Amino acid sequence: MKNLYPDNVINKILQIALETQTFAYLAIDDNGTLINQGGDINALGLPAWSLNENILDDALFLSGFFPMSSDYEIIPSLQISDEKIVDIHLFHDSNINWAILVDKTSDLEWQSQARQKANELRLLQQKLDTKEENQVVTK
Amino acid sequence: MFKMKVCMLGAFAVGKTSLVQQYVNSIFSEKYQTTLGVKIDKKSLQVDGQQLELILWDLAGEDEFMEVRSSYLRGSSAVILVADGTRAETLDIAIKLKNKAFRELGEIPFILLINKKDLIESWTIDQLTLKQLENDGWYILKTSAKDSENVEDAYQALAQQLLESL
Repeated sequence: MKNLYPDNVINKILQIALETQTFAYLAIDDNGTLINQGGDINALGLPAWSLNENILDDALFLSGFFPMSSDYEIIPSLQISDEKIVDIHLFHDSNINWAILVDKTSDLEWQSQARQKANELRLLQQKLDTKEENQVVTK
Repeated sequence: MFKMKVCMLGAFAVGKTSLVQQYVNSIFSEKYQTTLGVKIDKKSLQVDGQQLELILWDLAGEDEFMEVRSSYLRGSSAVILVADGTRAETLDIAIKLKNKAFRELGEIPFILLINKKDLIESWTIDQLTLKQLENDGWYILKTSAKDSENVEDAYQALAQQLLESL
């Protein structure tokens, strides 16, 4: 994939992504100790974890993924707080587990509204179908 | 203390989020709010003197447009299948999801909840199929997230199964 783009284009894409999207990262050792963190931690609604703190009890999104058994995992569309939805990319590199959180809240807002409406309509349709079936049986 | 990841699986609008909210926060909302992706909650409970923490992954409902992502299931110790008693087709989806979970995770503990017991007079779910599933060893409970009927018992029963499977 990387070969599709010359270096200057890749750099520009990175710059655009960093300027237009909100990211945060966590670096965690195999015991669950936070060894580094950065990015827009506060904007994504993550707690104020301290370095060298074991975060496995608090970082519920890591449950089931730790210790990592594959090189890469994605947890898409995780509601991390009342206001924020993130994609979480987990990968293992140089004996460190990294979690990159990408804010997807605004991208998913329309999707959420559309799905809500679609599901409401489908529930209504299912109710009407059941009512119709019952009427046929009664006749 | 044992910590266990448990995934809530079922069709859309069967009451997965309501069951979790009733169990964890003792609240129920009449308004249907679709879940997008996944929400995570936790609750501690005691079974046979053992302290256990359930980490509940409340997954968006499966339908013909959206399948449950396998990555959400990773590392799950058990699953709770939920069907809506008033919508017979949601039982088929629950059965399908149980098969998917077993393919991904092996034979892990599970229970099936037939939710919306408060609307039992409108139930269309096939009782014969339920009986067959029970004969096949499925543990099935009829729940009402609205009235909290059997909600606590459901999680307690699953926790019991989890401890026995260790």
